[in-house]
This record gives sequence, C-alpha cells and structure tokens, in this order.
Amino acid sequence: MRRRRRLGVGWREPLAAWLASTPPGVECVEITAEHFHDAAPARLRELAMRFPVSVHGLGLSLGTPGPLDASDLERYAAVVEASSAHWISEHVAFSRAGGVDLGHLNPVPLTRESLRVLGRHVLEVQQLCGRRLLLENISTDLSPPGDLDEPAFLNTLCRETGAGLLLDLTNLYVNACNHGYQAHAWLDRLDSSLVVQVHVVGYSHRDGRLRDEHAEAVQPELYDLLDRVAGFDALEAVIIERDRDFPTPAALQTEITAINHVLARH
Amino acid sequence: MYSPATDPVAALARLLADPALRARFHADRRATLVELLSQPSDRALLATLDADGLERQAQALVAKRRGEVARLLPQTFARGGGSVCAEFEHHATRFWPVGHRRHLEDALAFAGHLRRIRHPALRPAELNRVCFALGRRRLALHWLGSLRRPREHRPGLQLLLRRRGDEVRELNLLLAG
Repeated sequence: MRRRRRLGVGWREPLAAWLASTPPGVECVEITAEHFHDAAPARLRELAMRFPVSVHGLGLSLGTPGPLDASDLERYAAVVEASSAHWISEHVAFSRAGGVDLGHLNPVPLTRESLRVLGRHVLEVQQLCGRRLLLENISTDLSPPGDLDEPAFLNTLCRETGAGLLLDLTNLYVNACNHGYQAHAWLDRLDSSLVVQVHVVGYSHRDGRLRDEHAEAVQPELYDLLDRVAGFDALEAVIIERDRDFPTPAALQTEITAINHVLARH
Repeated sequence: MYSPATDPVAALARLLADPALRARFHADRRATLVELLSQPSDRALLATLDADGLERQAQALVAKRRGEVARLLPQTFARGGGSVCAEFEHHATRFWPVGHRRHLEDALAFAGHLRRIRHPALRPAELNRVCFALGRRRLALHWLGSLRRPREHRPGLQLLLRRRGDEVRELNLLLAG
C-alpha cells in the first residue's frame, strides 16, 4: 500500500509569517539543522506542534574519513530531539578535510573506500538519532573520480546501512545538463524503493551553466521528473527548497497546488 | 612542498582550497600528487580529475562564500563593486572560516581586512552589526559619522539589540539636520 505523501517547504525566516498562517497544501516543513544550533529548544517544539518536521543537516561532512565532529553531531542530534523529527537527512558529500573547512558540499570519490567511510558515519548518526537517515545527492561542478556510477553508489550505500534517499531532482537535473547525461537514464539505474523524500526547486542559469541556487520557480523539466518519482511507492514527502528571491504567497500557493496535482495523479 | 594528505578526500580538499596548489597540479599532476599522497592507488584516483571541473568547483566555493558575506555586508559590496569583490577573492585564499557561524566569521574577517587596508567602501555600521551578532551582548550603541537611510547620510547613533532566539535588531537615530 502506498504511503501518504506530504508536501512541505523549507522553513526560512522570510516565510515564517506565511507558514504560521498554516497555508493550504503545506503538510510538513524542513529545517536546516545548523540554523537552529543556537536556538532554544522551545522554539523547535513550537514548530513541531504546527508541522511534522524534517531535520536536514549541512555540516556533518559524512564523506570525510575519520571520526565525525562530536560537537556537530551532538548539536544535530539535539535539534532532531527537540523537533521530534519525522525525518532526518544529510548529504553524500564532504565539506571539510585535510585541515580545511570548505564550508559547502563537495563530491566524494565514488569508490568502495568512500562507501566504507560513509557507511560507518551513516550508521553512527542513525544509532544516535534513533531514526533512518535519508541521504541527498548533491550538485557539483567536479565529476567525482572513482569506478562506481552515482546511482550504483547510492543503491549500495543505502542497502548496506538501511538508509534511505532524499532525491534532489534539481541537483540531478543540473548535474545531468552540466555533465552531459540523461536524468531519466540516471533514474533508471536508481533503486526507486529507496526514495523517501524529494527536494525540488527551480534551477538558475549562470555563466552558461545550470546552478542549484534555490531561487527560482520549478520549471517544466523538473515537473516531468517529479511526475516520474511521484510513482515511487516509498515516497513520503516532497519539499520545495526555496532559499532566496521568495515569491509572493500567492505564487508559492500556485506552485504548491501544481505539485500536489502531480502527486495526486499517482 | 606540502606534508602528504592522509587520503584522497583530504587531498581534494586542499586542491579546492588552494589556487597555487591547483596551478601546480595543472602544470604537473604526477609531481604534485607524489607530494600530496603517499599511496600509489590514491594518486591514480586523483590523476583522473577533470581540470576544468576542479577549477569550477573551487571558484563556486568562493562564490558561495562571497554571496553569503555580501548578504551580511550589502552596502559595502554595493558601494565597492568590483574592487570589493577582488579583495574578497584575495581574502578567500588566505582565510577559511570554520563552524556553524562561518558566514558571520567570514564577514567579520573580511570586513577587518577592508578596515586594515582602509577600503573606502566599508560601512562601519555593517561591521558593528556582524561583531554584535557574533558576540553575546544584549545591547550595543555606536556613534557613527555617517548612517545611511534612503536618500540621506547623516551622523547618528546605531543601536543594536539582541532579542529572543538570538535575533539582532537595529535602530538608527540620525542627528537632526
């Protein structure tokens, strides 16, 4: 039996008043864990009373060999606990290594060694948080080296750890266009039963390439991909991941309605 | 000469952070990888890195940092234009902030750099705001020779308040003209 799907948005300060009005069609919110590291737990509990919350991490750097940063992990777990998170997620990526913190996400080599490193970290986070971790594919200008392809890498990582996937359709589409492959062919090789959440937001154009800047309305090509993954049985939530250049509430509502129509077709 | 990285991810991070290292990598991959990595299999893995992709990824990291810092110092970047952006590129090669408040740390370090070189675009009010956001004080008051409002610049007081949830509020009291 197919699970109930919820449509949500990323919680951002400029959207706070609109979300407080409980707009129709919004059934969950995603928070960035690092944005709430210094927040009072009461604030998270208040949010959790209004919506099911998905806690999305940016800074655990799961792909970095060696131990996870204990204080970052502790803060992440505290946000998960205070928000009674329905879902937790992070990225198949690294942001710090070799004595430098790059501050943003970068691709890991697609190798068995990376699977080993990520696998150990995923299990640690899942054990600490008592929840299944969802893993997101990132957008990248650098094709990662290695002998595995990305879908095979993600399939293996999830099967070996029990993790699920947060499939970012925008990242997939941006990478496919920039690196010259077909997004649908990539999806053909992905185990659809692993996809629990989806991120979607319009892509941007910059310097002749596509960018995932979280600043545009969803385009037709992304609705096309969304229509395909809406048929995945394990899908539980679709999150609109808008970070800047926020549209009017009416425009957001139009996008929410359109996405809910896509979900309702399956 | 660099001390060897422990693994390919560490080596990749160093390449992404250091334009001089990348230049050496592009000029002579084999020699640079011998310096960076001790295991032949690790060197073989990174020997296949796409040079253009590596450069684009590195530039994207700096661009993301610049975007975040520009949001914290908007008037400084607006006034300074290309000159401030060029200074940021220089700053970004020498300083990488850490921690979950990295954007504020980056903005503080960059504004400090602009103050040291006496760049005319730096807005002291913005530097004050970033310092206050990083601190723990509940209230700060600054006298500024020029506070900006739409269509006017006048001396005045900048009042910074820390509210519930660490939210920073600012009130500007301009001297009567």
